[in-house]
Amino acid sequence: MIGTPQTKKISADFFTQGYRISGIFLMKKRLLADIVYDLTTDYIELHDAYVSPIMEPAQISAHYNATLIAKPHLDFFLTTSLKDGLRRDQHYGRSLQRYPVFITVPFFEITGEILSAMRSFSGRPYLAKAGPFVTVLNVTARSTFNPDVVYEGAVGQVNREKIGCFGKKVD
Amino acid sequence: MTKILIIDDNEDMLKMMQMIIGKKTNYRVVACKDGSEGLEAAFESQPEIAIVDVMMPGISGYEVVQQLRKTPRTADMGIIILTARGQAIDRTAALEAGADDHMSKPVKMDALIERIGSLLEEKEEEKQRKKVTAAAATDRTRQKQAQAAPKEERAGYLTLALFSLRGGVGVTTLAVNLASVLQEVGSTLLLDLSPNSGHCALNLGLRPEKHWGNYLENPNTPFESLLLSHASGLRLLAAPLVPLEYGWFSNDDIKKLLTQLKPTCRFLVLDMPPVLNPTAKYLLTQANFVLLVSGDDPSSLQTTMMTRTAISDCASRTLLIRNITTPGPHPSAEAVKRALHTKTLIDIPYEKAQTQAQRAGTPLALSQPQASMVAPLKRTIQLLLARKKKAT
Repeated sequence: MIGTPQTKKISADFFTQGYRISGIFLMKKRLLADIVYDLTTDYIELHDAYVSPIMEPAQISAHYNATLIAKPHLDFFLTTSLKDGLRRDQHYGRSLQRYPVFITVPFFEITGEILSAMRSFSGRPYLAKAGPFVTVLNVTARSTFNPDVVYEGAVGQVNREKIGCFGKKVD
Repeated sequence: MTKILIIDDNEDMLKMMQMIIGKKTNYRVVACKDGSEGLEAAFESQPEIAIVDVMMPGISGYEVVQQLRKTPRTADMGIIILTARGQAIDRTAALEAGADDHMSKPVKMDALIERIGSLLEEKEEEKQRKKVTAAAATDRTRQKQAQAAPKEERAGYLTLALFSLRGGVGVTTLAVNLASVLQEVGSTLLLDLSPNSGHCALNLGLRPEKHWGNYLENPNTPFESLLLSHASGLRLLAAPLVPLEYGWFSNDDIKKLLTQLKPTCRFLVLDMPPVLNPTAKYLLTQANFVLLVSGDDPSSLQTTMMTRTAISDCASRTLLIRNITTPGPHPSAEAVKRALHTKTLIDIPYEKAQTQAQRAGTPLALSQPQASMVAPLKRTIQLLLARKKKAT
């Protein structure tokens, strides 16, 4: 599906301000991650969205068939498929190395792997570099206040502005 | 025709599932685009399986499942939750709501069709299990009513010999559990005929203070005086825990044993030793059915083949049972059938709790009736009783 200009429905879990929003993103010409990284827009439009409080993540408290997610307030989002969660340019670059990381955002601690072209990985560029989100692979997001609640995804895009702690293993 | 109900608000998905399932299977597919329409269709057509989406406007999939489970006529149907919410927490929520399984979108249609098939089988087994339990309850009532009937009408109705020439395939475990289930149907007596070290008593949590060795010591001892009683009502003629210097039974001893004990019970279960001497052969001829127990490893299958040849005079009464005693992958029923040149009567799945049950001296059939080996045992009894009825 990558690069083909036709509509595809992508399911993703968006986490913002204590809520889990399971939504359907209608992918037309641009990938979900491309929309998220686009600095000229402030929102992501979802076709169908089901809202759950993160303390009761299986309970659906609201449903709306047209929903806007405010990007500056989005903590992170997860997709189960690798290709659905990456930017177009991230589909290339097979020589990239993976480094394990630990990240905290409001209500969650996130573990996973980060892609880097550098031989010796330092987290600094990831926090300072331009670009609103950090891409994490093989993500596990554990609820801070309810550690039994765990979300997993092939890809997570984490809002750089929301990161409180960025941990990495020293080489 | 098997009916499958699909409830999903995504019309494209609904149409696709309806088309593919309809094309690849013989199921009749009923499609509904929301929860309330789905509930109505379920109550009206009572499908065998429902595939329910979670995220739907109006009634959510979880509420649909709860409603279906609450309503008696749809309470037992198979339910698969199929949702884009594929997190572990969502699976837990689906199972807590009452679904049988949870699958996440996007789903491969072949995997979904396979799951529908296996769920249909599970539900059928569950139905059979309920039938057996109901039949057992009816039988208990009949048994009570039959108390006044002449003793000889009920006595010695069915004798089963569980046998294998290969040790370690679980003959004793099956004998103990089969006898425990049979006891629910009618008065049952289990004979542990192991000449070396019998374990039926230990499996039942009984101390073999008296056993058939006492008869060999003193042939005037009546067999009935040597029986041990289990709390379930099952009676046992235990084997000595160590081999005795008096040896084993002769044919005459066996005749005497059967003459004395058969009239005291309706069902007689023989836990046969892994030997095929003349007395063992004679015992096999006295059974209504010989249940030849086999593992599915190559050496076990070979022994089973050779045993069938050796007891060919009992061929018409010999039935095969595959007992799986180890975890992990096993050959398919078809492969076992090819190896043995015949179909097994029943396959008993591996049961992890069995080791613990043996240690505790409580047969799984009594302590954990939901254990995976119990339903096939009940089915075995149902099949054997049907065959016996047909034969008489």
